[in-house]
Amino acid sequence: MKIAVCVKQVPDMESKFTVVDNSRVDESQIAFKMNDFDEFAVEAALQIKEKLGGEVIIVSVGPERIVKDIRQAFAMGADWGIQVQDPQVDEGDSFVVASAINKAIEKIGGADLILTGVMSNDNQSALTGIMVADMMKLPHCTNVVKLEIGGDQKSLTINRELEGGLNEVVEMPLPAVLSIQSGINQPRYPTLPGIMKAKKKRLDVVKAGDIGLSEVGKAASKTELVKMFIPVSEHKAEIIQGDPKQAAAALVNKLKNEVKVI
Amino acid sequence: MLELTAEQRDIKQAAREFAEKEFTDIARELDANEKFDDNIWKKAGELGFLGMFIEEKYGGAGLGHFEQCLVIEEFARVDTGIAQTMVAAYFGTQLIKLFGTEEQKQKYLPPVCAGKWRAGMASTEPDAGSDVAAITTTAVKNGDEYVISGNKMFISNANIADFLVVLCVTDPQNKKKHDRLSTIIVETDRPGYEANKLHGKLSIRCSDTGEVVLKDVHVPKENLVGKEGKGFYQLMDFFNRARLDGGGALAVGTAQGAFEKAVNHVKKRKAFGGPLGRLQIVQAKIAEMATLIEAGRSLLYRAAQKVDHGEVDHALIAMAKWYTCEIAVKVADEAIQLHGGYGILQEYNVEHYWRDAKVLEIFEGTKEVEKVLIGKSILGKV
Ligand SMILES: Cc1cc2nc3c(=O)[nH]c(=O)nc-3n(C[C@H](O)[C@H](O)[C@H](O)COP(=O)(O)OP(=O)(O)OC[C@H]3O[C@@H](n4cnc5c(N)ncnc54)[C@H](O)[C@@H]3O)c2cc1C
Repeated sequence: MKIAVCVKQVPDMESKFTVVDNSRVDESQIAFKMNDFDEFAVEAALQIKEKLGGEVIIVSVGPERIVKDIRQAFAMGADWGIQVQDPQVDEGDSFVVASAINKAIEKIGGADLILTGVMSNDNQSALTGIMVADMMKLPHCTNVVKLEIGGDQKSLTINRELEGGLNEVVEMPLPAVLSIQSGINQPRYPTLPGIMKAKKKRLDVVKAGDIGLSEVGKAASKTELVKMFIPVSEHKAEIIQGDPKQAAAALVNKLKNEVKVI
Repeated sequence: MLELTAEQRDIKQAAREFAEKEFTDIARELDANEKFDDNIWKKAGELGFLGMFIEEKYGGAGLGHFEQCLVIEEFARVDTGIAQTMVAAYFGTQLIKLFGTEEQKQKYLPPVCAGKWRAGMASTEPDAGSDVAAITTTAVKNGDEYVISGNKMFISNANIADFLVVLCVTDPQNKKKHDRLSTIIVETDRPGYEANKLHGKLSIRCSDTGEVVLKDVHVPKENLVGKEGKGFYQLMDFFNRARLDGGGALAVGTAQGAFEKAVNHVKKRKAFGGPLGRLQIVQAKIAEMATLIEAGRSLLYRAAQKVDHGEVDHALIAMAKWYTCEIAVKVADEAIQLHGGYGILQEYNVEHYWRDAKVLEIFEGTKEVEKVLIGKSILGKV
């Protein structure tokens, strides 16, 4: 089975975030890592490969620095990868990134199964997987917490996580695009031999032009970033004073009518 | 020279991730109860972190002592005790790698690298620590066997190792004290092997340390590592490797871990109208700690890389061992100081770095002994 896994690099959320020009984060102070949800997707792909054979291909869009995380996926056991490294693509929004992924997967001759994380730790838009599926005209399923490939390798049985801990079981045909939810598995650590092999694995680095992607950057984006800022958090505590009985009554009143929690 | 390659960065990163995810939640409990969780050791073996300097054909990674240092440093950054148990798991394999026979390498190295067997090295005795050549444990040749008798003290893994490489007297009549000794592998399931756990340690409490009693333990003569009579010199060659990760890297990681706790704290803790970090004396302390760590790390990395390039500079290694372990104590001490009263509370998770740092100045060659080595190498025989 040919499985493509989309891997994004995101800031480590422990990093220091400073917004510059009301539009971007100062990257010099940020440590980057693989998107958590994508780690689950890589693991899911590796488990399928272990069971059914085939290959796991990492598809990634972003600058030079993301190679470190592609190599991490290689060290975990992925076979090879394709990276769209083009500043013009990076300037675009999720739609442009999804277009690049779509074209990159086309370039590698398509895949039987395409996995993405359910969302990215940084933007949390949860859009990429859905858009890729739409562009590829493939069935799609989000919030996947369990997945099983049918004996004929032409269909899938999937558990989707719903609100309140409910699961929904879905059957769908292959090829398909799935957005993987955290907790579906326990991503493996890269092994030392894996790390040593990773540097020899094939990584095709391409530009938008190489994969036939003509519309890039802000022009091709469907959204516009108006302003980025860190909201001021306000810690307000109100102390109700006076006679305990009256204070208690005032508190109950507030909880009931103002905050509406009782 | 000290820039890491992409692969070395990946290894360091992988070790950090492993330590943060696997050690953090259980380290304090293991320390408090003098217990260990074997799953961590097994996982580390499966991932290839144990005995990375051992050739691939014997189950290692065929990398250098430097890469092993990078990993142990990351482990110690989270918890020195757990990191030391990892070092202890392959402690002694350096001797087999350097001087062992092909059969010994095939038999003893792969299971250690895989996290299936634990090794150990027993030199210290109740009455012979720094003065290695004063040991009295004897190994008497008897046909195809050695019969070993004596007591060993402070032996890491004494109660849990599968085998120990034991320093014994094989030629008591030799005029030169240093030529009387040999290193011999003793499997711990042999009749006559007994060990007792030492409790109540200040440092590395989750790591097993014990006394060993050897009562007429019979081992085949094939268990001799290297040459008879060369045990002392082989042990010195061994320490020139083992001191790097088992001393220096543990120390740099310990200092780094304590330092990061201090940095976090002084950014958050408020006094005199702002965070502590705004006070210049606090800044000076942070600057000094950072510089000490950087200096220690540079010294260690250089000493380790030289060994991997085939140049064993024993004075440089001794400098690295002494200096890194001393600064680990200093940095951990300042880290507590910067926490004020909170620093001595277990809950604040910084006091253990200081407790653990202390033993680093003692084992693998005390700091005094390291200085003796450095002094001798500079001054020669005066
Ligand atoms: C937790 C732990 C684990 C250990 N694990 C092992 C192990 O696995 N295998 C093993 O063989 N040993 C092990 N040791 C023993 C360790 O190596 C010794 O404790 C160390 O070598 C010091 O020996 P000693 O304790 O006998 O002290 P001593 O040698 O008695 O030293 C006492 C003091 O005198 C100083 N001193 C001694 N000689 C000189 C000198 N020539 N000049 C100046 N000062 C000197 C020392 O520096 C020290 O400060 C371990 C020890 C500990 C605490």
